[in-house]
Amino acid sequence: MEICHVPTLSARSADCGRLFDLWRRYGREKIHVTFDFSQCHFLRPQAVAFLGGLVRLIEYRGGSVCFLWATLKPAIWACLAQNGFMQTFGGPQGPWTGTAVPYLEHRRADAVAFDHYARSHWLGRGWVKAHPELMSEVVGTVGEIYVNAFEHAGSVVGVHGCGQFFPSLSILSLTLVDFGVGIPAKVRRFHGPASSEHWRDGDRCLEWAFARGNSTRGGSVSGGLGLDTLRDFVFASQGSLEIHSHESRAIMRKDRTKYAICDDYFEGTMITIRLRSSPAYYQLGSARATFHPF
Amino acid sequence: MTVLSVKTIVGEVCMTREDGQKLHAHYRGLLDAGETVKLDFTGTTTFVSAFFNTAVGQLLGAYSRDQLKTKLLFANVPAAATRPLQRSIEQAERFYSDPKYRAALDRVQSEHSELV
Repeated sequence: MEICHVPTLSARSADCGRLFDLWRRYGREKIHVTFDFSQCHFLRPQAVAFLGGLVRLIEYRGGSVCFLWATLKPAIWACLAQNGFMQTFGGPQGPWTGTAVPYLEHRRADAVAFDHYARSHWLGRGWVKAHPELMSEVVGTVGEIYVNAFEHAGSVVGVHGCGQFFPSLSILSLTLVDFGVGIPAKVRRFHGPASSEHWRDGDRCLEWAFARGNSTRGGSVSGGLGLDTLRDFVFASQGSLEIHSHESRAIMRKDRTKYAICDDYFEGTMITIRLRSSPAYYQLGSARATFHPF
Repeated sequence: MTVLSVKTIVGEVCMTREDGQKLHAHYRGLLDAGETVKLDFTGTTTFVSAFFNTAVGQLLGAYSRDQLKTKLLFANVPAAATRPLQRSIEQAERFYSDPKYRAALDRVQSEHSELV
């Protein structure tokens, strides 16, 4: 049994590298590992979602994971207990209602359950005072990510999520992680081997995937990734969108979008959406008694 | 004209391609028989483009936009549905009118099938 000393995993980019390093060390082969949190002083929601998925990936590969719950610092104990992560993995304390958005894991797509999660545990907590129609639009937009993870990425352990409301910043976050093939891999396959050199850099692949009308969803039925829809929504809402997939990263805000290549590598996709809680930021369309989309 | 309640057929949540296909299967025969179909979205709440790709988008493989303007009608469409529905139709139009684009997507799909 190998001991994994879970590091401090905050929002700093270096900590993101540490997170993906855990995947490189433990997520690619059969391994028996014990998670020791004695060196961990902060665990952001992104990391909680990622760790949960990593545990399921280890188990999928025939390995096992043991948690040393007693090594948790009090604040991290409270975080992992409150969001339900601790209970999910057999820990000693169950969740309670706070500012955490509960830990989510769906091995298979369950649209109704995800809709309930997004409405009741994320947006519907009163942190975002929005018109019901607007709430539906946001849930649908995030639902694009959720559905993509199942229909597009081929994640063997499904989708994992977690979030947090930060009252002092008026920001509501939600992270969804899948351990599928990743966006760059899909884009490269779409363009074929003849142009492999052009699509070598993952940041270029991400930029392509977020351009309107581009999709790698195949089959006999046309596909629209919906990533451009998500980006447009984030821009309209003054929020931000952060995507990690393979060695590439994109950070999107209304005033600037930055695609970059990082030293870190993770074969999957992690998307974090951050919304401003002030409803004044949002623009709402209107329902249509009759609608002519053609 | 036949009016179909989307909520009755798939429920309030319209997110997956499977549910989209379920709705499509309910009306496609009527449409092909020359009947006008109205999809009533009353009571539906959540929408993802994947749903509309199968529910509506695939019609562009057999019908033109102009034909569908009078054959397939939409009623009580929530605001949240309009953007994914329009995007899905735009995407479908490209898919069915551009053979190179369709071939590339089919290549991804076949490789995806080998992976999972």
